[in-house]
Amino acid sequence: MRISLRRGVVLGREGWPLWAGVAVLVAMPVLAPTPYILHVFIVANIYAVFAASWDILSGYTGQLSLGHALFFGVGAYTAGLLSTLVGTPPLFNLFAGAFMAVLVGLLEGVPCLRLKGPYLGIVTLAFAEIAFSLAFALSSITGGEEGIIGIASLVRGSIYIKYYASLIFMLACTLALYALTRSKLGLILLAIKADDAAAEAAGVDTTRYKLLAFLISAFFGGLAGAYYAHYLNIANPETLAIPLSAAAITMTLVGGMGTIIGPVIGAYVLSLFFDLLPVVAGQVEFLTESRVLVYNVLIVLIVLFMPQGIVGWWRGRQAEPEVSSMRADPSRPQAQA
Amino acid sequence: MAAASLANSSRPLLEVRGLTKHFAGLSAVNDLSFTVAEGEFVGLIGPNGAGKTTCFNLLTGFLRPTRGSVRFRGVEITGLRPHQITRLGIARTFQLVRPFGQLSVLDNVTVPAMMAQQAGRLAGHSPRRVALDVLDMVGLAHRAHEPAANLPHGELKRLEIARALAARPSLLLLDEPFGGLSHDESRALEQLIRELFGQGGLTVILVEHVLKVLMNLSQRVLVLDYGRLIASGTPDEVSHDPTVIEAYLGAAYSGAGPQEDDASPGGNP
Repeated sequence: MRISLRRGVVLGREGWPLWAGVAVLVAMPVLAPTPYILHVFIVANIYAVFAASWDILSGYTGQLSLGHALFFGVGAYTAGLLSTLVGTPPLFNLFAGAFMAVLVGLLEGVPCLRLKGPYLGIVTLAFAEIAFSLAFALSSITGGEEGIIGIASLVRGSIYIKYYASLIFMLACTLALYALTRSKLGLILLAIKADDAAAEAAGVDTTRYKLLAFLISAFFGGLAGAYYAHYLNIANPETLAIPLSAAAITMTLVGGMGTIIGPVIGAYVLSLFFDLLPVVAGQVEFLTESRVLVYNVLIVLIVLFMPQGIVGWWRGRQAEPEVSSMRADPSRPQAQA
Repeated sequence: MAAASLANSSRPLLEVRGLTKHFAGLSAVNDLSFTVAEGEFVGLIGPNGAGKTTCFNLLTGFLRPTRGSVRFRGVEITGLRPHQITRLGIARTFQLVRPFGQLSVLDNVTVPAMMAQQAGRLAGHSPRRVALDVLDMVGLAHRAHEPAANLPHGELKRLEIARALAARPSLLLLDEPFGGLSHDESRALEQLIRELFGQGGLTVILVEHVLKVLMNLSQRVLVLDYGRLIASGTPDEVSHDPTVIEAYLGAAYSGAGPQEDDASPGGNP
């Protein structure tokens, strides 16, 4: 009751497309029963969690992270090392990876607390690059460029089972993050993003909450990385690299910053577009050969014409008939008077 | 018990001693000392650049003083961070409004109320309830569910006050709440501040350029010039004080500040 009073009806705000989307995802093995397409969706599910973890820190709290792959990679390598050296069960490794990412987040977050905007961005980028270099420098442990191979699978069995496991993983993580943003904590994070001096004046320990956002973000980023390692059975330097950090940002911008659902949608749109374009447009040679070009043109178009991302665009469309009746009703008489 | 409460009532709510702030050789606030008693309404005036906002920033922890001390209810608060000071019971407004733009008006006010609850200042009320009451008090209840960014300037000024009140302060620092308001808005806000103060339990320090309003509201006026306290007294005393007139007219007419006055710490070239 108190929460729904706050910012519209929980989850219902996105309306039917959200539920339709979930329904399509659940029915996917029936709709597209090819292993390759399901594989693309599994990876998209993992990226969705990763992008949402970026969103809670950068989109929601306004703390720009340009090196988010750090958490993903730490999660992946931790899970990989545990699995191959110690042989602990994958489910344990998922949480161990997330926990290690939180520790690294602490290491990174504490010195970063006083930094803002581009300065914070540069330092986070540097942290990720340090980890990336370490993956090569410590090749006796990390396997260098090859990475760690032979990591146990989280789920054994058919691609269908793996698909549903990844779907449950994605839904559980994003629901948890979404619930967080709708809680008191979410309100505080938004206040910090809007104006951290004013938040301080309001009595908010902004340092503590920024660090908390860092750690939550690191946790889910690490979780996604560990899941990735246990799905692809490999943890390599790519999981720490700049393109992956950039992917989280791109997916979130396309889907809609500060919405948690946005990065999930962005992850699907971009993964599907990039990986399925060759399948769908197999006959059109130009599209297949220049998919990187087409992909980037798509990103430019979305950012130009939907600056608030897909979710922001949809909410804006809904705003006239629905949101106004929901939130502005009491003020309407005064506004006209 | 009786002795303790006697001691409390005789001690000022706020004690500022030798407060000094240098910015790269310029002293914005210089050896400033004053006290404010519980339940007092104090006006703080001075020409542009006299150090009024710097003084607020020092009192609320947004700036660290170069020297000096600030005590609140006898407790040293110098060096505390802003949120800690707010939780102890000093809330401020900003001269330039700083709303949480994308949050609703109600959420804007709920944030400080939530923090006040954490600090044990809500006496069992829910933050939401307190926020609604405060909005009602300042006349923004009808805007509760609108994004703060939609409000006109006059209402944003009220939102600043609402947010400060929701922190449940015992000392309220108002930094030019009348800035940019129309004549009618000013009169309504003056009435509101009078009512808020009249309800009791609140001590106010008001910085304001609109001197007429400030003189109407304040019981005592402190005058700053070049970071120094040059006068203190009732509105009537202060407005007839030759030093004060000199500071204002000198600054206004020569544009270079008082020339023959020896108290010119900003005088380093």
